[in-house]
Amino acid sequence: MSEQMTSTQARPVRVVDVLNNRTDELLDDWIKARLDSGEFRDELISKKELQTQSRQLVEMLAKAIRESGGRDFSDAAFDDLRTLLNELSRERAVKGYAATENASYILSLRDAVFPLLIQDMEGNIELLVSEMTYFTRLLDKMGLVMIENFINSREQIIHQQRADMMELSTPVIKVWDKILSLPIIGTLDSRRAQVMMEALLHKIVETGSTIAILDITGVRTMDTLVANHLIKTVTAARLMGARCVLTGVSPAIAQTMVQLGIDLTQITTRAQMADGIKLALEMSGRVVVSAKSLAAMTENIRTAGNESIKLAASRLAAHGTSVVDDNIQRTKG
Amino acid sequence: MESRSIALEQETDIAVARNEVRAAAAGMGFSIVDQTRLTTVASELARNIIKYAVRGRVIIGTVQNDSRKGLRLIFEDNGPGIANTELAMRDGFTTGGGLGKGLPGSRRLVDDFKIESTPDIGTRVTVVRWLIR
Repeated sequence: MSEQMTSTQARPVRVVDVLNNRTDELLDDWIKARLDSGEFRDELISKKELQTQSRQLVEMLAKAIRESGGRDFSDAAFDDLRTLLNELSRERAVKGYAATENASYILSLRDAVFPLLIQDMEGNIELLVSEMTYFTRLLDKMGLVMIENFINSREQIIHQQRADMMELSTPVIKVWDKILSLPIIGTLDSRRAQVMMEALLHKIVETGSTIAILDITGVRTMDTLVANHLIKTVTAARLMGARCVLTGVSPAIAQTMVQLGIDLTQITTRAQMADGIKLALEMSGRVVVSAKSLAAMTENIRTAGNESIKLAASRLAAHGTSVVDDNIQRTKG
Repeated sequence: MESRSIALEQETDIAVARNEVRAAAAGMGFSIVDQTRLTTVASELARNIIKYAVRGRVIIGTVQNDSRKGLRLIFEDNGPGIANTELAMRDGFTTGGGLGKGLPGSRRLVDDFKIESTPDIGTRVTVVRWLIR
């Protein structure tokens, strides 16, 4: 009860005299303490900037106390100061300060003011205590404003960053002639999936590709929405004459998809991106042969007799035929 | 683990809920597959809230039953409610143009599943997955 009375009643405030008349002294002490505190970050704020800010703060604080007639921080006289604090904390949040540094900057003003106040009071203990209580209460409120605003600003930054992450573009990569690859990473929301699908379809037209490998190694969770987008993408690609191969399905996602009841049997899948590329090459009528076995074959042709040439040639032919056959089967299916 | 509530107000909040659920499940010692199951359920049910009720919340907490411990997720909203929950739980039923697998699929991914809904009052879905020792 008594707290409320002292804080709401208008009265002369002696601490204003300290703030007004001994500003330079006060600022020197305050800034020196800040520089020595170990919290001062010269990479974030210059000494000069700190001096300017601090002077402005002290002047506004003195003005507000005087105009309010010693009322508490909720008084309209403190509105300008509140705006300044908001600006300061927002600026500091952007610069990467910690919340505690922000508050202790304001709270440490007390350590600079009190010794001067004690000198001024010349032993009038009763008045000194009342002045100290008033000033401490003000600073506490100011510190809270700094923290609250700081947190709000940080939240805004986090929100923005989260939005940026979602925006991460998904590049469509040409892996081979007529073969595209789309590595999907992170979270797929409707909008991002839409953008991705459009990019893929455009690239299919642009490059005249016939096969697209969709790799979901970087996707941690596949829910029905993502699955729906995948199915739509595959269907749309097929309408444009391109076939899709889905790769990078983790065991956890595979089990989850089955329990969710999502039917992806219409989509060709391979465990890894590498398998997908191999399949894509075969689907476009190519095989990968190691240079070593090519060399060995050439060597055989040059040196060996008729039989081994026949054998090598028939092996190669058999592999080629099987790839072609598979492709015929795929086209039918 | 203390239970905690996460507000669902925009699409990005779904990702937040998902990460929190995964972290909670991992912290309790659930396997990777179970973590993925729970994360997927969180994704489905949180998205339903954003899509149909605009805003709501998910409460992540633990439950203890005899010797078992489980992760419980409560999804609440004050949205339009579901007229026929029985129908909504059927595979392939959708009013929003989706696959119609969200609710029935989620039920298959957890051990306990309870849906309460009153038209114009809101919906509450409670799911539990028990930790197997």
